Formats: sequence, structure tokens, C-alpha cells
Amino acid sequence: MKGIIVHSGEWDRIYHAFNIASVYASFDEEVVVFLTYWAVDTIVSDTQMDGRKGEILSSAIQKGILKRLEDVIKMAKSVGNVKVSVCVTTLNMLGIDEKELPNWVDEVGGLAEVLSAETVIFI
Amino acid sequence: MKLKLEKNGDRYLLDCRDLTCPFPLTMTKIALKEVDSLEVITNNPPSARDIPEILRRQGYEVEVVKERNIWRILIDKDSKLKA
Repeated sequence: MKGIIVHSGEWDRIYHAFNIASVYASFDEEVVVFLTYWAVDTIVSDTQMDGRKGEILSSAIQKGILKRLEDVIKMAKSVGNVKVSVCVTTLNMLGIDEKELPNWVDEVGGLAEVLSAETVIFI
Repeated sequence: MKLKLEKNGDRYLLDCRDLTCPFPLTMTKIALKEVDSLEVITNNPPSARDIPEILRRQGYEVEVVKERNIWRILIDKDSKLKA
């Protein structure tokens, strides 16, 4: 199993985490993506990047070079065994109810599962 | 996620032209959940190199045909993978 911990709330980092997950899934690897801290805030509030980075990313999405974040997540899950887990402590910290999470989130969990992976990437 | 696959003779066709990493690979893997014989068209050189290598490692039979600016990657599940 491969584990990806996404702490950052930056759109491009979350996006790339799911690109990595989708390629691992293409290798027929089981993957757990654990969203924590600001990554959870970004996915619940649907925050986009602003400034120059935001303009570049919006343009790349319009041209079809990149996809919408939700589409990349759904694609990663369609490739293979990609599970998305959200940090319970973060939900409490941000005052987010489990019902507010997007439907592609599989579970509310803790660090132990993702840290039991043979490889862990921290983003 | 459901992909649009065209039937092209004995194979299904997945046109990945103008898509870059990792989409040709990930879309190929999604397509292979649905069909046993697939032709992937790509003009992305890393995908033309990586997709055959990854799939052969996984037991697929893969042939690559280069045509001007594109690659046609012909993929077949062998009998073990079809089971």
C-alpha cells in the first residue's frame, strides 16, 4: 500500500497528490490519500488559487491541459484502489461536520492507517 | 468514471491525442476495466514509452506502431488476465 498525506491547502498540491495517487493506482497499487489540516479546508470551501498561479491554472484547465480537481479525484478512484480518508482532528479543529464532506471522501480516519503504508509521501 | 470508447474493428479505440501525463495512462487503465482489446492513440512521447512498459509488466500483450506524429498502442489482455 502507498500512503499520501496532504497537509497543504494549496490547490496545486492537492491536485498533484491525486495525480500521484492515480499513477500508483495504474501500477495496481492500493493507495490511501489522507487529507488533513488545510487540505480539508480547501476541499470543503472549494477554494481556488488566486494571483498569477490561479490565472495559469485556470487557463490550463480551459485548454484541457489540466482537469478540474474533482474530476482528477474521481479519475484516480476509477483507475483502481484509491481510498480518500479525512482527518477527524481536522474536522473538529475547523468545525466541519462529516456531512459537509464531498461524496468522493470514503471515510473519516486517523494517521495510523496511512502510516502503515510501505511508502508515505507528505505534501 | 465512464470513458467514451469507439469500436474500431476487433478493438476499442481510445483517442488520447493532446492529453499529457498522467491522463493517457490513467484513462488506458480505466478503459481496460471495460474491454479486453484496446488501441490507444497518443502524441505524448512519455506516454508512448511508459504505457507499454507498465502494461507489459502487468502481463498485457502490447505492440506499438509509430505513425508520423502519433503512436498507436495495441493492447490485449492475455488469457490469464481475462479470467
